[in-house]
Amino acid sequence: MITESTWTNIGPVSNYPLNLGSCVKVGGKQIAIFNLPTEQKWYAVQNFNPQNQRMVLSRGLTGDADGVPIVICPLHKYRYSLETGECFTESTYSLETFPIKVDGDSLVIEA
Amino acid sequence: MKERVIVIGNGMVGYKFCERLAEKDSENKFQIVTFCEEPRPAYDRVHLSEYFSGKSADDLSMAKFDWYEENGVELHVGEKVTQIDKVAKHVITSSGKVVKYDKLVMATGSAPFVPPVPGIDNKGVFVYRTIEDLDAIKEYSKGARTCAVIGGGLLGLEAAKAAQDLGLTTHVVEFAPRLMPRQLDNAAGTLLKDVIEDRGIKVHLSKSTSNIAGDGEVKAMEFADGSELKVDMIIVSAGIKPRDELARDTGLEVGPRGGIQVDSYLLTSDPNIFAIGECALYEGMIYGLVAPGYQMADAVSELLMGNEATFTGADMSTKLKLIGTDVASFGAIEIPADSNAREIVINDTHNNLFKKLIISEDGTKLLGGILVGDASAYGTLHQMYLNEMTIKCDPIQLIMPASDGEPAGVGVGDLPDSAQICSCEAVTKGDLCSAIEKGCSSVAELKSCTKAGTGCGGCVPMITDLFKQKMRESGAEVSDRLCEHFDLSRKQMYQVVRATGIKSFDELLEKHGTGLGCEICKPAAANILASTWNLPILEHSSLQDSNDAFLANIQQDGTYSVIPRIPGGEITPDKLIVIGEVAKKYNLYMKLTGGQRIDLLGARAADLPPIWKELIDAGFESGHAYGKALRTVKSCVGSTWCRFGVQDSTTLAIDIEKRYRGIRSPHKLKGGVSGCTRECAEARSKDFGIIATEKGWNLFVCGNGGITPRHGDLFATDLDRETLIKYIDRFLMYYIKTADRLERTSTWMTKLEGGLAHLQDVVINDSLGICEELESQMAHLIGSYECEWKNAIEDPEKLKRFSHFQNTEEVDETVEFVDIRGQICPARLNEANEEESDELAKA
Repeated sequence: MITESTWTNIGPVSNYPLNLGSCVKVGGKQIAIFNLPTEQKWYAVQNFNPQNQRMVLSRGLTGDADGVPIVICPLHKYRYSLETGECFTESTYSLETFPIKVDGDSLVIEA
Repeated sequence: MKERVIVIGNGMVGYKFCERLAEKDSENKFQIVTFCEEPRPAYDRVHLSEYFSGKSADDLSMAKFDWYEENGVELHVGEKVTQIDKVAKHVITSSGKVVKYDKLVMATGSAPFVPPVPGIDNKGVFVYRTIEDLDAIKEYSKGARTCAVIGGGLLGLEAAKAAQDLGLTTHVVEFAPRLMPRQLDNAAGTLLKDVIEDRGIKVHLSKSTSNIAGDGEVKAMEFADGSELKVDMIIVSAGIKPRDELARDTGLEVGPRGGIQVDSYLLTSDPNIFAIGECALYEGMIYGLVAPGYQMADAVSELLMGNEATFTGADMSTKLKLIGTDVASFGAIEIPADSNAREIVINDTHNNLFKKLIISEDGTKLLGGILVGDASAYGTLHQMYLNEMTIKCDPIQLIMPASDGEPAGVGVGDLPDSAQICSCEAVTKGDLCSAIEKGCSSVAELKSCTKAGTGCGGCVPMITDLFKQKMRESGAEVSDRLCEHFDLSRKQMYQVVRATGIKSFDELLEKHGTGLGCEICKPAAANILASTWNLPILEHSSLQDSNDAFLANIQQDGTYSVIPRIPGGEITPDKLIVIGEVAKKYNLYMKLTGGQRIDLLGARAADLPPIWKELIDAGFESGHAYGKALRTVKSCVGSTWCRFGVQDSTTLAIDIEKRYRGIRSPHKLKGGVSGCTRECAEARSKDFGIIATEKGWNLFVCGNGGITPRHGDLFATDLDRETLIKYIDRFLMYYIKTADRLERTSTWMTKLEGGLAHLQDVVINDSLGICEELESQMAHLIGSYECEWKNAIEDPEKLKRFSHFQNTEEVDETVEFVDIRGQICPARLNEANEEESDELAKA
């Protein structure tokens, strides 16, 4: 089945401050958005923390591991790649990632 | 054609011999065959008692059946060698097998010595040697209430502990006038007796059992002095006798009181038969410990491989935990006759500690010693004794606890490479060092590759110390750089921030780091920036763990807790009512904390600002329970109310809590103030603790509860209030300046070079000339305090962060609660849904 790609507007770029995570709700899904001082700048992954199954990842610290941008779960400090969703702490976990881009003054996300 | 080696006996030593020979025999020169009369292969008899505390026979086994197969060792369990023909060089077994040998190793061990007392054959008399013995004891104990152990040696005390664990009223009956007569002197034995009796085991000394009364089942023990003890069962642990009956039958030479005579090559009177372990008699001595047995096993395996090896006696030092008490002895336990040696004795019956050292006349060599109650110094002392190391300090310091908790004297680093660290497996310091150099990268790896620490385990602390030290020496592994983004330690980062005036993480990263940072350097930097400049913590919100970013502690379900400050634990009814009303309004779970305040749990992030608005309007402030900051200063009611109090501890606690509130430090800080020496505020378990005296205040520092409890050190006595506060100011600031990240004051103190004396010198005598600076920095932090929650609720920008979604006003519907004892608690995942579907299923 082919579905048409649907980009959802999640509001002005200025709502999403640098170096912080935010959570948005798109089509019933909770998605964590991150704004980092990297070339790619915007990242979107599931907000659901697979390790303890709670909606907390948007509240994690960000940083990098060997140059790969990461979010660190605020509960038990597991590290996840924001690019691929891969968990560096425990390889059995991974996050779903979502396309995200700037459209005019707004951020749009495909989820 | 392989040479066949038959090993008679598969106990710990017999097994060890197989293991050693199999390991060395890389060319498969030998075929190893071993016979074992017990129904299972070798198991760890040293830890036999653990069979009662939950270990299975399998857990105790030295090696599984697979091991024997994989290593080509032919194992016959439940099959005893009944005859040796040393001329034909074969053995005959209980099943009638005739097996030829080239070399024979007797590792027949020993049997418990059962004194020939009338009535000893009554039912209910047991020995304590095999798993089968333990099974029988356990079974019989079900119908018994009282048990006596004959023998107060180490095995007897082990057995007594086991009997007590089975729920029996337990007695120990010893023939000698003291417990453990071989290892302890009178004073140590007396102290051990007191400790054991405190634990509910009755000890009877100088008792010679003359009769065991019973009518087929044990009823009582009768002693030579006419006294009697009613018992339902008896465990005999009165020593061992070597299993030499087969050797006698074979015509091998045995000692007058038993034991197979061996020379320094462990050879019996037959040149093809060796004897090792507890059955062997060397120079009139039976070695009833596992370590000498292993040494013998190792020597014989070397000899068979064609290498030179001898056994010339062994060290009989021991360290054990008996009935919850450390007991250790090494070398001479009394001043040797005709010598000018001296003794140093600490006999602290108050704390149940006994420590004794025998030293050479000039005080430079350690000849032996006894430790009861605390044997933490054993590893070091034993090594000093074995290696005849020179004592470089006043010898009493070797057994005096130093102020920082570390025993004085030598560390593992001072030992020569030849020092044997693990005596069970004969592993030297040199062996361990070379294993580390070859790449063992953890203590576990080191243990599995050298086998050190896998026997009795007593040397594991030394192995761990050595490992850490080697790692430190090699540099890279335990470098104190914070993380991959900064080549600075926390202390260096603090100095950089203070010296350069950097006020943001971005600037710090740009000038001194690389990359984007991480969960290690970001909070550390935020903490240092806060400790230095004291700007409201939310100005660094992108650097903070969720706790500091939301000014609340995140809980397992993603909700937060709220803890308002209640200085000194003093609260008015009106304020208490406000807390109750807020909890009710926002449906929060309430619990009292250990720090005399109230925790409100289950708050959604979005509710935090309105909750705090109400609390602040009622006069509360942030309690900083989420921060690496001062938590509480716990207090008692002091002289204001208490009839024993000598000072007003509550007022002091409140003043001090307010003085240091909000200050960020390397880790959380807790204080306590007690109004008298009864110490109801538990101040000595705090980072700083104050205890009132008639004349003023005693200050204790660097205490801790938690995982490694530590009583605070007495820092200064009878201080007036002004001096007390001056010292705490300086102490805290010095800690903030120099500690590592997430290092509590207690750990900081144990690592602090010079320990307590150094700290006193810095704070009291200003030895570093920095007190003025410390005080002014502290004054700045105190002067710039601002309640960060008040600051946050007045700033709409900061409050934006608290809504769950950025693109909708909806609340997070995944947060769910269930009821527990009339309050909310987090629902287990899908618990609410499960209930729903249960309901559906029922309908």
